[in-house]
Order: sequence, then structure tokens, then C-alpha cells
Amino acid sequence: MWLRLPVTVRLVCTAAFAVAVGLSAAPDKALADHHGNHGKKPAGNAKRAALVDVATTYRPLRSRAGRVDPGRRDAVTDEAAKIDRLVDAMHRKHSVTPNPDLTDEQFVRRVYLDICGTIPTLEEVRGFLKERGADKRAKLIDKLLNSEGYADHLYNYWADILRVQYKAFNSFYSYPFIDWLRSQIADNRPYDELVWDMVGSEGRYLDNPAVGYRIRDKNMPLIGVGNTIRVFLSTRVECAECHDHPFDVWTRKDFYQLAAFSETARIQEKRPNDYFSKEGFQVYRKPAEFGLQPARMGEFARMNIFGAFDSANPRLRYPKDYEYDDAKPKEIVKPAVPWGKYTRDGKERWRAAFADWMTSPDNERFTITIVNRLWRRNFGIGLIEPYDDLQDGVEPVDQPLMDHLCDLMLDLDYDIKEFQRVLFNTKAYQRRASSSPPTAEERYYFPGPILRRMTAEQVWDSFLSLTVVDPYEYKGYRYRGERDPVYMQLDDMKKFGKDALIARFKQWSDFERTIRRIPAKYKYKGVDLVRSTELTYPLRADHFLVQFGVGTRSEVEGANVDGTVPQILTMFNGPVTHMLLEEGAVMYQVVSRERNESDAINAVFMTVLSRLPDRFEKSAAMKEVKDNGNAGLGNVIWSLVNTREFLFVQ
Amino acid sequence: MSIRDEARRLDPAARRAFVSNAAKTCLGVSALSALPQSEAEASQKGRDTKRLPGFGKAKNVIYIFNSGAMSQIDTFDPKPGTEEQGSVGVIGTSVPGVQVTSFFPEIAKRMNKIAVVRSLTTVTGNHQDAAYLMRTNYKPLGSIRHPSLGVWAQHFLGDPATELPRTVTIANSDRHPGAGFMPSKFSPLPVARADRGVENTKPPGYLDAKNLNRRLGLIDKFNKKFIDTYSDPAVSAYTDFYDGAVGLMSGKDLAAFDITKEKQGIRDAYGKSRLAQGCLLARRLVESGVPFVEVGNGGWDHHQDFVQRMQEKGPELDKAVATLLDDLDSRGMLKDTLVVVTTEFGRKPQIDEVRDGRGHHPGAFCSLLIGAGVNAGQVYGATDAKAHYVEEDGVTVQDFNATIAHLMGLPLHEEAISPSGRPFTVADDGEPVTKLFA
Repeated sequence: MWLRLPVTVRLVCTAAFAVAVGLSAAPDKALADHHGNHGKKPAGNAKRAALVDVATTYRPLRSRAGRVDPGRRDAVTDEAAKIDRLVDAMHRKHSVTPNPDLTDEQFVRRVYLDICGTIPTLEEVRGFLKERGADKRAKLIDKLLNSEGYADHLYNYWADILRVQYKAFNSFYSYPFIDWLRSQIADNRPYDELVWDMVGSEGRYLDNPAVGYRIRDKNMPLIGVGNTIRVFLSTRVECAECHDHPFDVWTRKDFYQLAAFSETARIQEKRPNDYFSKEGFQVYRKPAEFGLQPARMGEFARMNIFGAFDSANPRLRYPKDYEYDDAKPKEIVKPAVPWGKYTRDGKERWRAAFADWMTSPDNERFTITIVNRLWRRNFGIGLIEPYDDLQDGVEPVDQPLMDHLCDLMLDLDYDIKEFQRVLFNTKAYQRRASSSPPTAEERYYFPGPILRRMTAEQVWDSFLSLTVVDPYEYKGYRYRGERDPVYMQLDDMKKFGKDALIARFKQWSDFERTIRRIPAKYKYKGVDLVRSTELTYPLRADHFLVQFGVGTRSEVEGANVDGTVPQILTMFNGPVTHMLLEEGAVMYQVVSRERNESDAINAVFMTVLSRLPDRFEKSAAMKEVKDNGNAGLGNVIWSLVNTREFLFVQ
Repeated sequence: MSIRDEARRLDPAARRAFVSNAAKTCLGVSALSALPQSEAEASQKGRDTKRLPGFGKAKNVIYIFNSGAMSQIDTFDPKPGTEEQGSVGVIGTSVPGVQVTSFFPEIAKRMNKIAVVRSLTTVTGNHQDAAYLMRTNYKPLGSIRHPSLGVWAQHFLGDPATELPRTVTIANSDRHPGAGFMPSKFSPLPVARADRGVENTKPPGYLDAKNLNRRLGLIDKFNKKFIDTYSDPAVSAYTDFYDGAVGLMSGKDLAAFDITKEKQGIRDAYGKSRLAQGCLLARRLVESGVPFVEVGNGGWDHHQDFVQRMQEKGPELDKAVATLLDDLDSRGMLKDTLVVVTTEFGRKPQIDEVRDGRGHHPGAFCSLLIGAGVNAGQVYGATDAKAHYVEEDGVTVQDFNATIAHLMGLPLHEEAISPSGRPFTVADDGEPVTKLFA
């Protein structure tokens, strides 16, 4: 049972640490000295000990809807076995020897990272290793799938794909959309419905934040269509915006017909003066005259006015320079899909018909895309690569396996949590990462997952769990619909006179500034110690997360996991590596609880790498502590977080 | 039956013909390579290019990358008097007959030292893919990553005596291809903010040299088992980055990254814009022995309110490039330093009236070449009356980079073999534009 306790980010006390652990010059001022303190400050230490006991990364998901059904565990085991039989057959066919099974230590670390996006804490590793029972792995998988970490980690994944910025195209706030997406993921909304809502639903943004997806590309609707088709159908049609695709089969006409669906939506239903009272409109048009910031006034109005409002008739026209014989320049484009069929009765909205087509179980590419993505996410490489460009003739490494996985996805009604639950339970997943990466020439037949560097968010959130007792304590603002200060009933807007509108605007404007303000108690040397999900993107170019590869989210999947020299400099000298050595940090508490150097070293290894040191490592660490006392222990901790083993997911 | 189905029913050879037919009608690379080449150019293909003029003149390159896609018609390929030009003004330059838009008065004055390439085309209007193509000459593939230009130079020309990295990127956008398949120690060093240089180079006060060395020794010990187990280049790359970091922490190279060490007069001349500070740092790095510096300059994706956006971006670029040019010139560095101003693709000349912006346009875009070995004061290539299609002397991305690579003294046809055994060349099938060489 975890408790909600105040976060102990009391980390500004470098001096305290200097005395206590790290920097004492005298080698005899070792741990014993530190433990001597216990007697002097029993109350403080009792509290600290209690904190350590609850330093868990697991937080139960609040959403009931999002929890896995414990009654289905046997069914999941069966499903996993079916996949394993297909994987085994693939191995036999290609004479591949599978990698050895994961040890429990490797398993616990990998599932925490893959499901919750962070390494497990000492208590969580020890708890799992102690546990007996054949189903202990399945139980842990279920538990973690029911955690907030699952939702946050999956949100980070989608945020990179969907280019979620706090303020899209510099004038429009995404927080209602962000909040909507996070709740959908927490509630484990079926994937097809989730995508349908983004692509096909209509209405005012503040009432239906899903349409934020459409608004994100309001300035570049044609490119938005290209992104949609790439992200959800792994098909690259964007070349065909300007000419027939040079390397694939898509024509320019295909592209325009596809785009014509999305273009039936207007972002604004009426002109701004139709929304305001006469007086209010003056305020809207000339905010400066009323002492208001024009840019912010525009933002306030757009938040209220924007949405996806569908017109009954197609509006997109072929461009003036349309050069093929199959249509005329400036002619209205009749919506059509490039493969399969769409159905639309006379009155149905075009975008709804499009979303029906796109997310239909009959649309193979839709299912293949999500199956391949989720496989790739957990095995490091797709069954089809490149995973977002399914050109004709591209085949998966194993057709029966791909077919089976697609059937499974359909059987599960696009329940992506349940689908991943099955994947995590396979032997195929629970094998060691391959020791050398797949080459471009040979197909990879999955003797195991491939080795992956942690994503930037995984590195950051793991650091937090080594430092902050309750990284989940800080929660950013969540959109409250009608109760949000920005929200105005459209009818009311008409009634607002000058003063009322100004007052309302100011209320929101002041409020919006507070949303992103993270209280000082979460700061450490100017760094906000909050989970990656709660930060505001895009981040500053020199932020830890950017250095480790978080993108600006201006392009689809802009993130990377490459190494750089500045990353290492940050690990060496940036505030983040030191914080975990400070008094009050989880790491510090782990060490101070142990009775002797040997136990402390074991605990340090368990905490940082989720395993005990081997004999060679143990003697190196012991020697360091013997020679250098507490400073030596600090050196051991620091060195361990600087290992490749810490940074890579085995 | 859809086109896709139709293509699917064809046998492979017929399908290739089908797709290639489709490609010929496009505005990208295929259409251009179908244009007749001049005899001289055709006969050079595949030959030793080292004897062409300009070879190896550019010891250094400062590569300004305008990400988001810089408009051609709003910058260096104006079309005065057309509907497409909109309200953007056009001015003359120091080269008779050559005009630029009114956002660039300083560049206009120095046009006699600049070559404008107006006939660039690319094959995609997707930012990521186009930026990747521009930096590497290859389409992004899932299975391999290609090196960027500075990395190719390191491959062919070897390491200089200095400890400094051979390529530095300043304020670069997402997903720089970096070292590609070349050794990771060739990776560019990214500097997030020019005004801060390389950060976190000083160990915290409590950590003395002795303890730092102990820590480094421990990392090696604790890494051993893992490194022995995994032969993944991504893992071993980190060893190079640790070496690089330790090298920088030793301190002697750090001054090269510190623009606050410049004289106040110089700093004032460059001004405060991020781009200008990036250019100043680039100059400083080049002077200290870094041969390839890329300066990122985002904010060109003008889908909306393009005139207003150009009013911000245009003068910023104008001032930064002009100051850099003057600075290099006055130091005698322009003769062996090449300045490139380029982007991903162009923008649609037709104004999107609803948004008052311009869409993506891979069909035509422009770039600047300044300095070492460049035949300055000329415009190379031309677009049609609306800056829409290339009409004369089309230059592909590969040709453009072959031109730069030639000036850098790189053998264009010499292959490098990737670890997976595939051969690549620095500019793929690009051929240098000889008219651009002095």
C-alpha cells in the first residue's frame, strides 16, 4: 500500500550531503558516522525510513475503465502461447536460435521501463525477486498495466507521434486536447474509437477536445492529411500533394480526393463579429485600446470559437496548377478513398464517412499499422520496416505471425492494453535482447527484442525515481470543461458587454499563466523535478530531455535516442546527477538505511541497475568505499548511473 | 478499379515502367534528370572531378540551414509585378539586373560577393524527409542512416591535430542525421544555444580531479560486462562520447565555444538574434579549427501571415549573413571559408488567401553560396514567371551538395562502404555545377 506523502525535494543542501555522504575528505567518516546520526534524530530518521518504504514507482490507475480484467489471465496466457508457437515456427523455418530467457532481474527492469516508462525502485525489485509462484510475472504485468505510469508512458509515445505541443502553431492552447488524450489513454479507450474521434468527430473544441487533432494542422490542412495517413495507415501520400508519387502508386488525384474529406471541416463556423456583442467585438478587435494584449485576446477568442465544423458539401478545389488530364484546375474535388470503399448515406458528414473507412476492420492497413507499431514499441523493431511506409510489395518478416496478430487485434476490438498484455506475456518478449543489432541486409527473425536506448522520457523519469520519493505528487492542471475559466457558452458570448468581456478575458489570461507554473518546492537548482508527462512542450533547447532526444514535436516522431557529447556532460556535471546524491533523495535514503558498506553497495546496484553486483564489480566498489569513504560511495552511485547498462533497455 | 490495384496487377517490370512513367510527370528529380545535359557535364560523369576549378578551396564551411522551408519568391527569387509576389517589395542589388526582396538590403549591397542558385528542386514536401535529403543526399530509410556532409569530410580528409570536433551543429532542428553509418566519434557536437556554448563542462565544486578520475575508472569497470555482451554500435558510440566529454572538460578547447570572449564591437555588430549569435559562434569555431559548422535557423514554415513572418525572419537573416560575410572578409577568412544558406524546399508561389500563407513547394527553391571558390556575383538557374517551375539549369539536392563537396575537396565518386556492406558516395549521383566555381 502506498501512501501519499509530501514530496521530499529538500535537495538544495549540497553542504549537508558534503558532510553526510559524498565529500568528506576523511575516509573514516564513513557510513558508520552517518548511522551515528540515527540515534540523535530518531524522529527525522523514522520519517525518512518510512519514506523509503513507500518509494515505489507504481501508482494505481484511478480510472476503473482502464483496468485489466484479472479473470482473463488464463486467456491471455493462451493467446501468448499461440504467438510463441508462431514465433517458434519462424525460428525453425529460418534456423534461428532464440536468445536465452530473461532473468527475473532483467525482466522486472524491462517491464517497468516498457510499461511505466521508469526503472523500478529498490523495494519493487526486491519485492518481485522475493515473490514465489509461477504466475508472478503475469501478475506484475497486470499490476503495471493498471498503473498511472502506463498511461503516462503511452501518452508520451503518442505525443511524439501526434506532435502535441502546449501551444500549437504559436497561438492555440492544446491543454484541453492533451487532457482529453491522457484520459482516453488512462481509460483505455479502444484504439479505433480514439482515432475515429480525432479524425472524424465534430464540434466546438472546448466541448469536444478531440477535434484539437484537426485544428493542430489548421494552417496546413493538406500536410495534415499526409500526416494522418502516415500515422494511422503507414502510407506515405504526401509526395502526391504536388505530383504523382514518384516511387509509389499514389496519384495527385488520389491525394486531393483523400484531402477533400478533411477539408469539409471549417475551423471557425462564423466570423468573429457573429459571436460577440457589438461592444464585445470592439474589445476583440482593438484590445490594445482597452489595455489588453492583442495576441492573448486572439488566443482567448480562438479557444472559444475554434472547432471542427463540417459543411455538407465538399469545398476543396484542385489547385490552379493541376497538370493531369483526370481533373480540371480549380474544380471542386469529389472525396474518394484510394483503396477499399467508403459508405456514406446522403446526409452523413463526409469526415465521419472517412473516419469510418479509415478505422474499419476491413481496412487492413489500419490494423497492420497499430499492430506493427505496438510490436515495434516493445520489441524495438517492427515486423514490417520501414514501419511507416507500407509500399506495395512490402512484406512482414513473417506473414502468419502478422496475420495472427492482426486477427488478435480485431478479436480484442482494438483494446491496445489487452493486446500489449498478451505481448508482454509471450516468451518471445521475455527473452534477452539480441547482442548485436540487426543489419540492413538480413531480416530480423526476433530471437528476442533488440537492445534499445531508453527514450529521453525514460531516462528522465528514471532519474526522478532515484531522487524524488513521490514523483507523481505534482500534477499539472487538468482541463475542466465548462468549469475552465476560458470556457464561455456561445450564447453568453453575445451577451457579454465590454466590461464583462474584459473581466472574463483577464480571469482566463491570469489563470492560463498559472497553469504552467510549477511550484518552487519541485525545483532543484532551477530544474523542475516533475515527470516528463507534466512538462510543457516544446522544451528549451538545452533541457535535459531535449539533450537526450525529445523532439520539438513539430514533426511526426521527431524524437531520437542518439548519443551526444552534451548528454555526457549533463550526466557528469549537470544538476541532475548530483541531485540523487543529496540528502533526502531516494538514493541517499537507500544508502543510509543499510548497516554496512557491503549491504549499501548491494542496495546501490539493486537500485540503479535492478541487480546485485558480480564479484568483480563488488570488489571494485568495496575498494572504492574503503579507500574513499562516503565520497567513494558517492562515486560508485555516480558511476553506475553513467554506465551503458543504466541507459539501455536489455 | 483504383490505380493502386491496377499497378498491383502488373508484373514487376511493367510495374516499374508504370511507376517510372508516373515519376516522369512529376516536378521532382526525375523530370530534371530527364533534361538534356550539356556535353561537358555529361562527359564528366563518373570521371575524376578533382581537376575542376575550386577543388578543395573551402577549408571550412558555415552551413546555415533555414528549417521550415524558406520561400524562394519572398527571398532571392522575386517575381515583381506578379500576383504571386503579393505585397512584398523588390529591390535591386550591387549586381546589375539581379533583384531580391526588400527584406534583404544588406545582402543586396553585397550581392557581388554572393552566388544565388535559383533552380533547386527536391523530391518531397515533408520537412523531415527533405531536411534529411538535404543533409545526406539520400532518402531516409528504416535500415540505415547516412552521414552528413561534415562527417564525409572527416572520413575523406582525416582528423586534424586538434581535439575539437570536426562538425558542430548550433541550434539544430530535430533528428540531425549525425555521423550516419560512419564511426560515432565523427558525430557532430550539438550546441543548443550559441550564447551559452557547451554547457556543463565544469565539475561541481566538491569534485576534485582525483575523484573524477576515480569515477571514470569505476565507469569502465562497471561497464565491462555489458559492453562485452552487446556489440551494438549504439552502445560503443557512448564510449566515444565519454571520451569527447572528458576531452572538453579538460578545458583547453572550451574558449572556442565562448562567444563572450569576442570583442564587444564584434558582438554588437552581430546583434542579439539567435541566428546572428550562431553565426558568430560558427566563425569563432572555424577560426579555432572546426571545419564544418551548421547553424540552425528555424521559423520558416509560413503557412500563415507570411508577410508578417517574413518581416521577422528576412531582416534577421539579412543582417546575420551580411555581418558574417563582412567579418570573414575582414579577417581574410572568406577565401577559404564557404558560407551556404539553404533550406528544405520552397514555398508555393500561389498565396493561400484564406490563411495569407504559402504551402510547401518542393518544385523550386533557392540558396546562397558565398566565399571560398565560388564564382560570386551571379545568379545560377531560373524559374518560370511565377517562381513555380524550374526552367533553366535545374539543380538537384545532390548536385547542390556535390558542388559544396567539391569545394570542400571531397572525391565525389569515391565510395564509402557502410558496415552492412553497401556502397555510398558523398553526393549520391549528384554532379557539381561547374559554373558556380571561380
